[in-house]
Amino acid sequence: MNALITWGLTIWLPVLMCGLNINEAKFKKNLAVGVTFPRQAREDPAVLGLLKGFKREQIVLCLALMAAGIACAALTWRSFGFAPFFLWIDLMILAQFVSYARWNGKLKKLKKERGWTVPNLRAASVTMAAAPARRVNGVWFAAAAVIAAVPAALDRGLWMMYFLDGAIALGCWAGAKYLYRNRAETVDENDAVTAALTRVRRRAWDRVWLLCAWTMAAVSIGIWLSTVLSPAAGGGAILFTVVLALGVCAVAVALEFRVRRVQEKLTAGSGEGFYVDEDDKWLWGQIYYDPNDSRTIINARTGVNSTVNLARPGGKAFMVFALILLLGLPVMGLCFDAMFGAPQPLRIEDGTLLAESWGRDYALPLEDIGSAELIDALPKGMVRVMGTGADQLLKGRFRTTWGDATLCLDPRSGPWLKVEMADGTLYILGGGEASQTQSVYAALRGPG
Amino acid sequence: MLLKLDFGSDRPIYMQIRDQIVLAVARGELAAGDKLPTIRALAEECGVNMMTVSKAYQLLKQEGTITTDRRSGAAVAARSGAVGPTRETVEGLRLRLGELRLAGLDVEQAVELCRRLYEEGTE
Repeated sequence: MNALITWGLTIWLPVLMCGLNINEAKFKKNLAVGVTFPRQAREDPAVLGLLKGFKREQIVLCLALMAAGIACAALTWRSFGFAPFFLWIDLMILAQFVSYARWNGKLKKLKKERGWTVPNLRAASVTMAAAPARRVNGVWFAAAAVIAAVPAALDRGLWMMYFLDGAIALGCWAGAKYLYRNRAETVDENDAVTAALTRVRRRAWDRVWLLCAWTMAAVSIGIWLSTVLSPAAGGGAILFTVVLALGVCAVAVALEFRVRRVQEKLTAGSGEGFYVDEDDKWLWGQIYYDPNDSRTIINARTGVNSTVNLARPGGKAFMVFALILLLGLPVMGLCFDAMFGAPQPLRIEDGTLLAESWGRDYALPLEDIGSAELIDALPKGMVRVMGTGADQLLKGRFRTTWGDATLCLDPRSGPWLKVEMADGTLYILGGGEASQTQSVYAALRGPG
Repeated sequence: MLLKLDFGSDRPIYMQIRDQIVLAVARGELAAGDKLPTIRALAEECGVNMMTVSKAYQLLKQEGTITTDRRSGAAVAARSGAVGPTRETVEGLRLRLGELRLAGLDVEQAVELCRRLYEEGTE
């Protein structure tokens, strides 16, 4: 199930990246594949030829990455493997980065040959900076945070999750406010175009964050409805979350393409006389590096996104973190695979029933066990309160139709042991071969 | 109005900001009473330190090009009639005229060039 959900949600990412990159080859704000060109370049056969080559490579890359993803998914179908998944994510990011950088370099070289390089000036719109910036009211974010946290009062068992959702909704407000560089989208001397581009971007940026905040509210309410009002429908929460995630992604992607379309349309007539050219500040067309810019947060050149200035300490720290994360992903995957691997076979040692899984042991003294039962089916509609819910491992606190229980078992292969302690605490345990669980059960029952 | 800052130039950034605001006022791109951005907003827009913008605004205020107010911010100053050039302006002009003479222009040519540039600035 986890493999199906994870691969199902991510296998189409190469298509999205391909779409975004192909869109980069369309001239907007005088840019194509991160290179600034004058208007005349839009009809230049050499430029058009390179852009065509870039687009073709993106399609080939997309197909190759999807094939690799499908192969990984097929190999780890029964029990989801983090290591191949993260490796595939790394491959996808690096492949598109290298491809973009390669074609960006080719286009820059052509630009230089044609003599299209213009003086390196930073343009700043005094008119736009003087105008009051209209942004979304923080009340909308606060409302989303409150709604996300409200179920905590009604369902104490999952209060931490609801509060976390509320905190994320508030974090969205901080993201909207502080991760945006409040700078005009200046392309040339046309103030009207600058104003329109800036307005469109600000609005889209705020909308994306507001959408995230309200998604968290919807997640909270949806989970509360599916788990509290109908505890047996545990799968409903997963389905709801998946549908919601897909919906949010679709809206965010649509917004990104919409902004790009507007940028393309508004700057269709630009590129004559004075126009902004900041190519020398963008390494490989993708990483901003400008020691003369005192700001850390930078708006991406096209679309809605933000990035960082690698010349600032904050930007360097972010990039180092991103690089460590990127290179460490496969290692992290191996660790996760070990952590979330199937539990060890049950065993009895020194008068204690032991259920072991990476990082945590459950040791139940035999004299404290009230009753034990061998079960062939797990309770329906189990909802994880805290712990792990992998294909091959359920571990931690779960809410079940038998009441709250602590689990440490491999759900793929029974039978399992249902152990009720003298104080009423319920455990459902299992791991390894069925015969091992059966022999532990026999030992618990004793000769009688 | 668009500021074009050249970080490779020998001229300090605050002077580039000051020069371009003066030229924008002379050309009529900024009229008397027009609001200027706050120091923070312009620093954010230009990607420079707030001190740089503050220095430019102080200079503009000293020269009488702008007025500043704690509550309403900076605005282009209203000029009532001719106030005459400052000493710095006269000295600067003297230097430029000297450069024109060294470049081989006679007085008529220099005056003609000044007239053309002056008219460009007021059109």
